Amino acid sequence: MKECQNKTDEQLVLLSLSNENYFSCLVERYEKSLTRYIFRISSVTREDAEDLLQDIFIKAYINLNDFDPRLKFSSWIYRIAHNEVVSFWRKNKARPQLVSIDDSEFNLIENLASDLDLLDEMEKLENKKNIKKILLSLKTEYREILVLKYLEEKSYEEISDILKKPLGTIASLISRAKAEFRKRLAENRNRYGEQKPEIGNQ
Amino acid sequence: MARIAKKVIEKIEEQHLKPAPRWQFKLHEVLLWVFFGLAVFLGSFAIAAILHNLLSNDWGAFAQLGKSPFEYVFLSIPYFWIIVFAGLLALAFLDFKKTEGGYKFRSIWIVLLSLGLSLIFGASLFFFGIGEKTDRVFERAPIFNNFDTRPRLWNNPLENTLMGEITKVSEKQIEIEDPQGNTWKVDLSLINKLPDFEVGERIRIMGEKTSENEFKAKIIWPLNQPMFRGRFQNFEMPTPNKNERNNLETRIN
Repeated sequence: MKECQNKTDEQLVLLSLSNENYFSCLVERYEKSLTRYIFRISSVTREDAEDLLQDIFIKAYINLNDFDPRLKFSSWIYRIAHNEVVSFWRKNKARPQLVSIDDSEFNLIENLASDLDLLDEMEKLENKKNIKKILLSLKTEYREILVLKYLEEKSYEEISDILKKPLGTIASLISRAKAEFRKRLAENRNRYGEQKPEIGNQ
Repeated sequence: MARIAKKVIEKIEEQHLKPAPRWQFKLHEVLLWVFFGLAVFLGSFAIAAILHNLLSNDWGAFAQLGKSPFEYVFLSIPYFWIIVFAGLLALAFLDFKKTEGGYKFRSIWIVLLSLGLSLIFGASLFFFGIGEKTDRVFERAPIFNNFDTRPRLWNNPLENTLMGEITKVSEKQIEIEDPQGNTWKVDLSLINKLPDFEVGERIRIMGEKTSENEFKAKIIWPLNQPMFRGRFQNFEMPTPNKNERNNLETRIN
């Protein structure tokens, strides 16, 4: 719909309440980013990801009147996405195993590397892959928050709204996640050359 | 239209899905705040009862009862009301967290807010005597008796203590009903100056069990006040004779 292009998310929400066809604009706007987000925090198949995506948008549509314009729409829909992925884990008794981060997203991983003073490490492709592996091997809580901060490039306030946790808690979690990342990186460096670093989730 | 968008719109149309009405969400929010307020309000009654129990206790009476200070303090704590208050505080916390903006606050601040509000209202209720009334309403409940340690301190006829509610008054004798529902005839002949007892008043007695359901009083004072305060303060402490004093001291020790 051409008339979608110049409208803000909040305007589209209001229009969708009276005409569901406007909701397709929001779906198109967030489809790619939510698909990427689902793959970044879970190990679902492409089919499951599509089903999840549909569930997310249907839930968003049904709860449109619950959207608070004081929040960013992106935070609100990411919150629904996060909750649906967690529900999916619980229903299928599946814990995230090997989740995926595309190699083309190394530029985003640089965000994390930069924050941890690891940019020198990133010059070698092998080290880029190690950093990616370590990120994937972190426990769910830490990986989620680093994905939101460095790959989804969300601000602290947005992450607080998505995960429904206080700002202070978000700051602590990011700090602990980075400390855990550094610890695993150091362990990895010690083992480098003796054996390949193990991949696994907690 | 992209594929997913088309599928979503088709599903909405097929299943005739509609956005839930706004009033539903507003009602949910209002109910959360109502339950939060209710939990804090009821918590204030528990606080009033706790204050009543703590401030009406005879903290110095452990020697007369033959208890160590530690044992006496342990038995004087109002466990039932503390558990009730803890439960209501937890409910208030959970309700607050679920509100629209509740997630923005750290747990400690929510707990302190709920605690603070209950303390302020509870202290006000206590000031107006609601603490004692609340305690009386619950003291017949079986679950209350499971946690109420006061009878273990003050209702041990074999250890020379009795507590209960006055059911009958006559010259030199009163009848009381203890927390277990037993009726006792209390001989007042050793008390020199008797206050005006009222039916319904709750009292504590130190003295001696003379037979089944009969008790000879040596000291009487209200349950809701420490010894020698309030309108009982003018009656004289009985002075037992030498033999009787030795017997009393032997039993208490």
